[in-house]
Amino acid sequence: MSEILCCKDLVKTYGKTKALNDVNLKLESGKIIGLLGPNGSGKTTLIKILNGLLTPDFGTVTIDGYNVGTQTKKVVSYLPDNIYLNSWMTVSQIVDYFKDFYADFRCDLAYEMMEKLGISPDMRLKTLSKGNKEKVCLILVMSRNAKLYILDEPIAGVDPAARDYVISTIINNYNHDATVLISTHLIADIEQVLDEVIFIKNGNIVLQQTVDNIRSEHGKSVDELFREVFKW
Amino acid sequence: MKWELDKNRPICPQICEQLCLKIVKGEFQSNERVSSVREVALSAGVNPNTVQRSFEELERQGILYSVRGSGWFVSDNVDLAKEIFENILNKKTKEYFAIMNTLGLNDEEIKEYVKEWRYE
Amino acid sequence: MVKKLFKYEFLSYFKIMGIVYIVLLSIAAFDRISRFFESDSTIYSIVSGFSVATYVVTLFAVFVFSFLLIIIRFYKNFFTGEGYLSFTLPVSNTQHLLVKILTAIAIQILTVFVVLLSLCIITSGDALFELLKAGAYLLHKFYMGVGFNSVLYIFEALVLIIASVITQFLLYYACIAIGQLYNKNRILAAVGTYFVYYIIIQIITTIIVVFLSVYADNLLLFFEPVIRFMTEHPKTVVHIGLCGIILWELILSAVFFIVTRFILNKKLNLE
Repeated sequence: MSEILCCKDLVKTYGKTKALNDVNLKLESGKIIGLLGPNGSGKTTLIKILNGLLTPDFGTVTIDGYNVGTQTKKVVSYLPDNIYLNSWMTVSQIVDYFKDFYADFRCDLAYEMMEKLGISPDMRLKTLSKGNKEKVCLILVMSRNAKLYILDEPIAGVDPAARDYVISTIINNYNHDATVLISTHLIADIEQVLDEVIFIKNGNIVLQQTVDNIRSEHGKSVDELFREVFKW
Repeated sequence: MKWELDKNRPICPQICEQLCLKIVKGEFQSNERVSSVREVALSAGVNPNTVQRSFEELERQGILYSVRGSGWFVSDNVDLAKEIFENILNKKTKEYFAIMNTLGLNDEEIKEYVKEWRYE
Repeated sequence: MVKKLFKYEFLSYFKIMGIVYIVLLSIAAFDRISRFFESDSTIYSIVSGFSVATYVVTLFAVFVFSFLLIIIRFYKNFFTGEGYLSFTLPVSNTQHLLVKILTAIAIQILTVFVVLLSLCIITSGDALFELLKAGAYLLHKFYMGVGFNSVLYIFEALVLIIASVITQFLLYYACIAIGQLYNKNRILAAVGTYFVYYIIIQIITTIIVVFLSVYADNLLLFFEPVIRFMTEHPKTVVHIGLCGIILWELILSAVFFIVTRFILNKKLNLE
């Protein structure tokens, strides 16, 4: 297994609050990994750093052997936790946009998935429902042939049917050479899909372990362990 | 395909057990192609890598075999699956008896209790 | 990649500016056509008065629109939700910024051309001819007066205009970027930054003027050779002056560019 991501001594502070406190992390390729932690634990800060949307105060990040930059953005497919698409575009325009900028984007796959949802290419993004907009974002992100997918809270605030849709879309489009990093605070819904989990608490990585190891060592689900680790 | 997965136990052995169960029940016949890794992953809502490992484990035990390019098949020796299934039943029953023993029932009393018991 | 950035940048402008341009040209054409039916009737005077007024308002709106749009585009594309997409494209921030400013200038130049075109449409044939003739005459006079230098002067003046427009927009970009350093009220902070910059520049100019007037006598003595040179070679001095201002604008542009790029590279923190 090769290493896709390596974080060394990452520190990020906002004013006086430490969002990340000396984070060291290594991810192998070919895995679905959960980044688990309550709100405000540093998940989004870490993810933004991996995508070059924030610069750490200290430490280094390498993805696929490169420092975060143009080269890593080619191989990272990122789903932010908010809807970020230009709302004036039509579905086909945003597909073209992705195709133009990402060499690994699979146009036909994106259209195929959207057709299943009844979303036609000439629809304007702003006419879509909130749920469908979120699904379009996920489809665009998963239609790339990336080496690292980073999904920030893909199942927060969605109904159970949409949640199942998200999970099956991830399973369906996952290829065995890629790594998927999913951040969430809703673990019960997603733990069966994960190879590995990372617990993050107050800006520190407190645990990195495979799901099956956690279950056989502790005799309990990751969700239960999570509740114990993050007890108030 | 329906999958009953216990949240507190590792997923990989559970997939193995349930596949054995399906073979024992005749859902899959000898030399019949079982669902692909991705299909199983989707229907069970679990990680494809875990399913892959389960299949590999079953291959090691001689219950499944893989054909390059066409997927996974049930081996000739269905008895192996039965054996494993028997083992599971055996183990579970032992556990049950052990629990009931601690509640003060001897083996005969437990059997009697089970015979009389109606699910409410 | 840069080509594709340009493509989407222009597309986003034409979505609005395209309509604005068409409206302006249509109003100009309408006014021109209505003049063929010139009469003393009240209806004609109302229609013609109305169309000229609309034209003037639209003319004004075109400039305001293209100006505002350039600033809004920068802010929206980089610092709102869209920023999540913009900054995760496999494109460097230098490329992003270059495409933004070059497109902005192109749009401004295009706006000027469209406005000139509309003026040509609205001005009746004879008047337009007279106007062009007057322009040509002035140019000719200018050329006779200073010779080949006139061509250089005009060229330098054009470069100066473009350079100062670039500086202006890069200043706004830098202000918006500096506004992003604040946790709250980032737009307000951007406006504040602009005013602070403006005041500082005012203070510096005042100090220089005061300094020059107080020490005028000594300075005259000190710069005597320079002044002699200036009176002896007035044409060269104009060149030096124009090029000097252009250089100054370019230095300012470079500073604003570097500041903005630094913030995008190191201090980006999208909401």
